[in-house]
Amino acid sequence: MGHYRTGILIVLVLAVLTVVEFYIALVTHSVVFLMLIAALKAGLVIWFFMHVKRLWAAEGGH
Amino acid sequence: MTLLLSALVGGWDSGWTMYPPLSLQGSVGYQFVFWSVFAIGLSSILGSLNLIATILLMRPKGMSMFRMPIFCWAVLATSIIQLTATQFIGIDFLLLSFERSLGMPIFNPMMVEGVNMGGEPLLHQHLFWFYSHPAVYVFVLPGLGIISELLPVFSRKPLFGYRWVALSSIAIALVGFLVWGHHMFTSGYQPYLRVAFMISTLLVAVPTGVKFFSWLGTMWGGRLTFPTPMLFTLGSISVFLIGGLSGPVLATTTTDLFLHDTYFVVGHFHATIFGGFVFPFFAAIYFWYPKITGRMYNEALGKWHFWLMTPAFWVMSIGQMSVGVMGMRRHIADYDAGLGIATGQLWITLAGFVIAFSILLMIYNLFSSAEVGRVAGANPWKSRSPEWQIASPVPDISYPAPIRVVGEPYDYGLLGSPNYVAVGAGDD
Amino acid sequence: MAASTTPMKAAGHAGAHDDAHAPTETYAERLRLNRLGMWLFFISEAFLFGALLAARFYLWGDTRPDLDQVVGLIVTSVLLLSSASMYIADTAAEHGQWRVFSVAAWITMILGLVFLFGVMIFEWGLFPSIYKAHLTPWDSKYGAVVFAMTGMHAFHVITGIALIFIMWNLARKRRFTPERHWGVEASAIYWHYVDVVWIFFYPALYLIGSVVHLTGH
Repeated sequence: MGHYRTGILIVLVLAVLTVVEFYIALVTHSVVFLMLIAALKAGLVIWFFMHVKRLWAAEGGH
Repeated sequence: MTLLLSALVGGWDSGWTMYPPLSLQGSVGYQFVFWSVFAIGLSSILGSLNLIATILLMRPKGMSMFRMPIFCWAVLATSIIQLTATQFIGIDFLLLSFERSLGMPIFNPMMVEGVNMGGEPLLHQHLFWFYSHPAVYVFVLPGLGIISELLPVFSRKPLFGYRWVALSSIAIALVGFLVWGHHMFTSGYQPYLRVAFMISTLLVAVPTGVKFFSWLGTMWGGRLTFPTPMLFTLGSISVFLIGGLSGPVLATTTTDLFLHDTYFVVGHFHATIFGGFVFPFFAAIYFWYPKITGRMYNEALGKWHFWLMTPAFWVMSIGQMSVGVMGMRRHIADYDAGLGIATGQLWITLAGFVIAFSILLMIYNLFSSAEVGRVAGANPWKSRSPEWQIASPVPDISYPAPIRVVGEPYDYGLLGSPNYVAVGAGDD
Repeated sequence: MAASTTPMKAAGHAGAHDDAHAPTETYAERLRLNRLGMWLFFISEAFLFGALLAARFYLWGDTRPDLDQVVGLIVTSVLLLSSASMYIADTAAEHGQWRVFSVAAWITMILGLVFLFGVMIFEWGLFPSIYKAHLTPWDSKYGAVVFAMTGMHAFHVITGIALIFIMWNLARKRRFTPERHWGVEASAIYWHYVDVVWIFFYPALYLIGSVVHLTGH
């Protein structure tokens, strides 16, 4: 299961952020807050799930 | 094809900008236009994706980004625009299409008890111009790249400020995303936006100026020769100057409010597109013609083409601007005789026919020279660029062995500078 | 992180059985090019979805329709879970654990379908016998934008599911190895990309702005 630990951890963080989003929306209608959290979530997915770093991997490794 | 079919089922009568509500009410021809534009947009997105990937990852050994022929930088900048901005017109036309067929109120307002529960026609203008302004740079940037490519060859001098020219293409592309609102000064959006769009539009003049000074610096003190491609290059600079100088007049909101939708805009657009696209396009055709066919075009006919077309174009473009200032409006076939522009209109029309005739000369030249032109040889222009180091017309396999780039692309007239490319020196 | 813990390098196997169409290209070069192409496609698509978001903020401003919050949370969670299972499938392919890959790929496809039907039944109201949705595409700008945004996103979900199915089928025929499974990687990052889009669409549709109650049609 060692290979998958990072992914599961990130999913948990994403789930927590989604709940945070939901409760922030109950108290404020601020676009800025919600879009910042969305950008953070997107950044996590892009970095850990989509491996954007591999674009710069010269050897084409994984 | 779909675009042509559209004409059969009613065509489109809103002009090319498809402003709703007219484009939502006209004939079914609109649907054909929307979908044909969508298909063309898809193909240009995929094409630009191919070009960017090729430029970034498939350069031969030794070809660093700043050693590429300058035209490649222009293509890179163009492709960035096509890759991204095209999606906006795609979604815009898709939504228009759905609004027509399903009645989704995206662009047409729908008043319910005094409140607008429907769409906004202005949204179309925003989406449309966010694409369509960068789209004119898609025309112009490769043209300006060709000017920068050809001037060093015919001046026998290095391109002045290579890095600045390369980066100015990217800068024009990026600033081009911020200026769409200057098409909408009279559309009734919030007045403070006008100021922002005015400033960003005037900013475009900066990287464009970089290119102009580079061209002058390249020619300065060079040993200039004037075959047809060089003539068209110089012609495009002169025409683009007319277009460029009339630009700030329109970019400034105060003056644009008077000139909006007049023939002044038409004159400006013709000058920039002919100077930035059509003239360099002709220069490129004559320049690469021997490489494509292996034979030279007819130089005398080429010069006739140039000397007929350029003065005629000056007359036409400046004529359009002056009748525009005097009150001629766009998009109409008729005008009030009291405006006193009949003579100007006559000149414009005559100049238009001269231009058309000169282009017929070129077409004849291109077809006949392919049969009877003298054999050109591999490098008639003594260019340093890689494509001229191999046979004309280009053989199926360009190089017998991989190449390595060892020199700079524009070291014309410099003693001791190595060749640009060396064949067989690469090892993978 | 998977990228740094994986010892394998595709470069070591390059040249062993090169693609017949590109005899001078190694697999590593091809892979780099493919990855760049995929990401350029994502950048392009970002403008497509960005245009839809722009339309949403232009038309709705600081308001939003009264969408069912429970439905929103559930479909969002389902898509998030599917991203997790796709991550497992991708990582399993990297390590040659094809049984795990197969199961995880199917879980992803099923979760994708659950998301899709959730949107179709509860947001679009395609099956009024199950659930009566109050939005229609033609009654107001709220319905129009909801359908435009979720429609474009759902289209990408469908293509994503199709892509994963194709890759599952190819893996079943043993076309991939831990060194060479670009197809799996491509379908995985495409699926994650669809999730990223929803990360922005969810607050834009469900959370931002104050609710406008639409009175009867």
